[in-house]
Amino acid sequence: MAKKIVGLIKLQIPAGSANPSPPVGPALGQHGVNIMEFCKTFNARTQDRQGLIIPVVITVYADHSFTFITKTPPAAVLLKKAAGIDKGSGEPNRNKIGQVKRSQVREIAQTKLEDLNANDVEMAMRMIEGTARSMGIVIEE
Amino acid sequence: MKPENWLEVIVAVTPETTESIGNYLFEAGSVGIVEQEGFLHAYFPAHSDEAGIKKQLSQYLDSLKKMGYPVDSSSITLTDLANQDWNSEWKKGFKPLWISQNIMVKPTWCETPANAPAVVIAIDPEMAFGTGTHATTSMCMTLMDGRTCGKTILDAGTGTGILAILAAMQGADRVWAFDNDPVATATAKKNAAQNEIQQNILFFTGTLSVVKNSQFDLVVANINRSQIISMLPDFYRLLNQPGLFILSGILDSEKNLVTAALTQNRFQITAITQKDEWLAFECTKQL
Repeated sequence: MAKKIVGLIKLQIPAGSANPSPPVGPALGQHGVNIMEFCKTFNARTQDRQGLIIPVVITVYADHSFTFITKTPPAAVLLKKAAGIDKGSGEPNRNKIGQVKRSQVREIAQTKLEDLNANDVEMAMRMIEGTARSMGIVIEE
Repeated sequence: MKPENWLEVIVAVTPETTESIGNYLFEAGSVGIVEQEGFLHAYFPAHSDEAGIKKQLSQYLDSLKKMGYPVDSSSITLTDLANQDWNSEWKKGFKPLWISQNIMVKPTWCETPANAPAVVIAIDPEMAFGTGTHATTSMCMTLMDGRTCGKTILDAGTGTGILAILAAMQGADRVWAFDNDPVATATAKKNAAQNEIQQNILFFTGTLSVVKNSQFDLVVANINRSQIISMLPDFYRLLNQPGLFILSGILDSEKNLVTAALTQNRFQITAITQKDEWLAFECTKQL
């Protein structure tokens, strides 16, 4: 019989360096999950992606056990890499700080497709373009 | 050690703005984010510039609003969060655990069961790794069982100190144990004292580079694959011939990679055990 799910936790944390401090500690601790065992497994599975922020969805069961899946890096991270910039704009309505080609947006959309609530690549591209604009990144035609 | 406090910044988001606001919070110094029911909860070290973070985040949200994004800069709330033993809820379910016929691990707050074996290790994990409930810890303990008496031991990445304590309780002549996390080292010392074995173990915070001219009969490392592989030349140097090298924290998908690295560094693999998705290797040193 399938185990009863009592919680779904969505985190964004750096690859390979999860530790029991916030956000991991309070988010998992309240569900009675063994925090250090999550950190051990997460760090082992993501140690080759050091430097990236990794979205992770943790399923917690009634017996306090857990499973998790890691997602592709956030679109914002992939956009900054594609644009060759370190940071997004703090005032994206006024200051444009980089540009990406539509082909790069398509590439990011394809990478992110499985994790986005999008029916196809075109829809995923529109979502990525929206994120780009909100970071002050211009889409080149 | 004084626990560190945290600043929690909570801001409302929509599907259109989750990515960019999350990115903004990381760029502002957040160490991690929880997404929960239309809000992002971002955590910053307590010494962060609270007023500056709020002001700049408000400006960013106002900027998004002018571009037509559905944001609300009045939704920002900042809260101080005291550090605490986040594992306390899990610890309520931590019960005495048989590792082998000879070894039991029990929480420090539980009585020793009447049918307990000769070696009962009392552990309060606090915020460190190593209670015996994880496959990698129990495999290391099983491989070490009965093989430390009269030997010199090095425990790399000691966490709660559980492996070092086991070695000392089973008669090791000398045990050195280290961790790069000072919180873990402090916890390990407390656990050793709880087991009245602290005089037999030297705990220190740091890395292998501190261990220069000592040799050990048994080296145990329950860390992760990339750390272990990077330290293999040092482990080889520190191990007596033929010695015993026990390592875990290796995923089954990493078996070939670790096997090749061990062979390249002149270790002979004598056993590989598996539990769940985790492997433990037992090796000796070749000339």
